[in-house]
Amino acid sequence: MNNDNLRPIVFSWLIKILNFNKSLKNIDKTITKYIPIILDYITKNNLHLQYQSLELLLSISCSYSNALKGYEDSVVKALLSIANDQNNQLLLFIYENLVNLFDNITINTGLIEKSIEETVKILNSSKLFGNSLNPILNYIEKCSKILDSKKITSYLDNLINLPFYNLNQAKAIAILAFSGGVDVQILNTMTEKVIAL
Amino acid sequence: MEWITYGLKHEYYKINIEALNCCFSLIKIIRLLDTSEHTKYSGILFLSIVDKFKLNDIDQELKLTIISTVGNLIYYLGQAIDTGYLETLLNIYLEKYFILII
Repeated sequence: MNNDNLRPIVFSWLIKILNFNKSLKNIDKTITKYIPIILDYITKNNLHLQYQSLELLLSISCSYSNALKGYEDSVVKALLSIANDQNNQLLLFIYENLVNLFDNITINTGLIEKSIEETVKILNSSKLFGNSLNPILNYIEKCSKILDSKKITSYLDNLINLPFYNLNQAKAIAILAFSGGVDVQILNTMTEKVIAL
Repeated sequence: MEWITYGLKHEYYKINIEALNCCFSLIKIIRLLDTSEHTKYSGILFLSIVDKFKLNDIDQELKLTIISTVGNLIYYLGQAIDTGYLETLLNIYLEKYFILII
């Protein structure tokens, strides 16, 4: 048995312990040590390693979010960089991670704005549809609630003048508009455009 | 318990493996005992296994058996294990995982 066979076994036990319903207060510092390695492997072109790193990150952000202190921006940037890869099979898992991070750590507002723009672009090019989009739409909803409504309005102003929407993009815009509390006039224009789809 | 400890400390790795397999089954039996017994036995098992678990340069079969046995110990008796012990085990798992990944 080589290391490639042993790794998934160690990984599965590691995840079980991380998700264990018992608080381990002194473990944060140890986990922090490994965050740069996890981030490095998230961006590597290896599906198994990416999946394992994302799963680890999800467990860490759920149970040991203090371990991510100082790495908040790098984590979000790493996740967004792989979300942009159009062939990414882990897109929904990436957004589950982002939603979780949003709940457990404080993310820079500038980074959230950038992530919203990129998410709408991703939705535009994505072939996903229906309920499978939920993690992405949840992320947009959570983000839009904390962003400044003026910024959302100006962003939507640009978007509604686009000659063509697809359904995914229209959903994202609707969520942004309703959760972000934008201008009634923009809402009306948007509604007309969506009805015309 | 004495025989298990003896088996785990033996020089021949096959005997270590058999002792670990014995631990593996014993953990499920300890789980059936009264809750107050869990902490006592999980502590004894932890102290018997942890030294071998820390080693990386050991036979692959032994490595696999010890990883599964410790996992089983946490799975069945995790609630009863001392938090410090559990942290040690998590540290070792993290170390092992990242050694294997690199």
